Amino acid sequence: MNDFKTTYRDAVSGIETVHIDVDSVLDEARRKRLRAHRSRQKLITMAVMGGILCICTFGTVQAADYIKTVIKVNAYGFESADMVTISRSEKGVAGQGEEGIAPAGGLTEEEAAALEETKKMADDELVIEALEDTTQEYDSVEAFRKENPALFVLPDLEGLGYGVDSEKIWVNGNFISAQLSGKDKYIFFDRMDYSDAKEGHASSTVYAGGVYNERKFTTESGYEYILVDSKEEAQSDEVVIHAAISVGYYELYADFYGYEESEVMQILESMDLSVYEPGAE
Amino acid sequence: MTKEYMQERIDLYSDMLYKIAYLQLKNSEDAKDIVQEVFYQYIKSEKEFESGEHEKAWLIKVTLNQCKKLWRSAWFRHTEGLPKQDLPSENRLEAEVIEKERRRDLAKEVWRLPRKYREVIHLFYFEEMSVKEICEATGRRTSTVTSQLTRGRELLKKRLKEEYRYE
Repeated sequence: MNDFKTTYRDAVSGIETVHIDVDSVLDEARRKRLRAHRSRQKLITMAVMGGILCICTFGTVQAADYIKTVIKVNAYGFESADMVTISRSEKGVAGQGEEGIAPAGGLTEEEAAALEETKKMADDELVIEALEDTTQEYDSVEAFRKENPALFVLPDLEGLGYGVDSEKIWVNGNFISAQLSGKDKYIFFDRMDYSDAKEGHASSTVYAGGVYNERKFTTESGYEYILVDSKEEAQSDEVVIHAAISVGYYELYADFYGYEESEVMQILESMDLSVYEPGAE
Repeated sequence: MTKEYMQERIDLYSDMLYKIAYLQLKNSEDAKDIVQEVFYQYIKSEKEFESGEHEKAWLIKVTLNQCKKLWRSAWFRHTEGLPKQDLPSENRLEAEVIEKERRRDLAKEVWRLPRKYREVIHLFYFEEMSVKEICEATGRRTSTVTSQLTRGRELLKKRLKEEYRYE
């Protein structure tokens, strides 16, 4: 009979060794980028996992009402839903499978329970592996555009004078996320496509530490973003600017780290959102 | 702490921590990030350890906590498969080929174990830590570690085609 320990040790010894340099360990810029990437807690993931999409049933459906999505700000970030879902929530209409959207103050009981459930599900490796197995990752915008025809508007940061050291794109179903990083500055763009959510949708985006300073920014083309701020970490003076907008069936979110407000506006202004309008394709 | 000393500690422990993180996260980039973060905390904390064993337990604990934090974050990177291992050329003896495949099958089944069982199995069999040391590194009670080891072995016995001696 073979010895488990010997066989296992032989097998694991075959895993690559890594050399880690003390300079890279102490590189604060690298740490900042990584912390920003890790600290973005999004309930959109729950939507991707099918854990939180709110379903409504109706006798008659006005297709045009599903195009309009409302994005609101709450204490922790953004919450959104289409007009029909909001209408049902406000009327308090009882129906089979009805659930409400989050009130302005925070999560509904159902969403809080779903969040707790998702945290437990995070320990369920089969679920995580299933989720990871469907995520495609691209190391550049160019690689993404070559292989994936999905609509995903991104700014030309180089053209605007902002250096870009690295680009990453992740695609999971109707959810696409991008990270564009320069020296001490980086942006995350998220795009949700709800064109398949025939019976309505609702979702939330949460930022650790909460948000403040809600304001609007309207581009010259007439697209109105909601902007809020959050602190990059507690006791830090560094402000992160978050932007959200809904166009047609799409919801777009952007998180700007290291950018001034004027730079954020310049970048948002440069993006042509008309491609997201229904019928534009 | 001089840079040379820091690099010496990194060289001493990075491989161990990387393997632990890799088995948790199944992704080499994430594992490397975790290990770098652990050493960052190690260096910045300027913690004094009673012994080498205490230092090792602290590093493992922080690594496992960092892995747990990543599990709970909203966006996961793509999982890689088991790391590729060199297969012998056709000229090698058939026995060697069979041996390599056997090791790979075993590693695959450990890879499939639930995270908490995988953790203790690795620390017990690869790092050769005692149950007491595993308790210190993971913050779990003795009874918990013992039952996770037992449960992990039971699952492996069920799933592995071959029989192994575990003690």
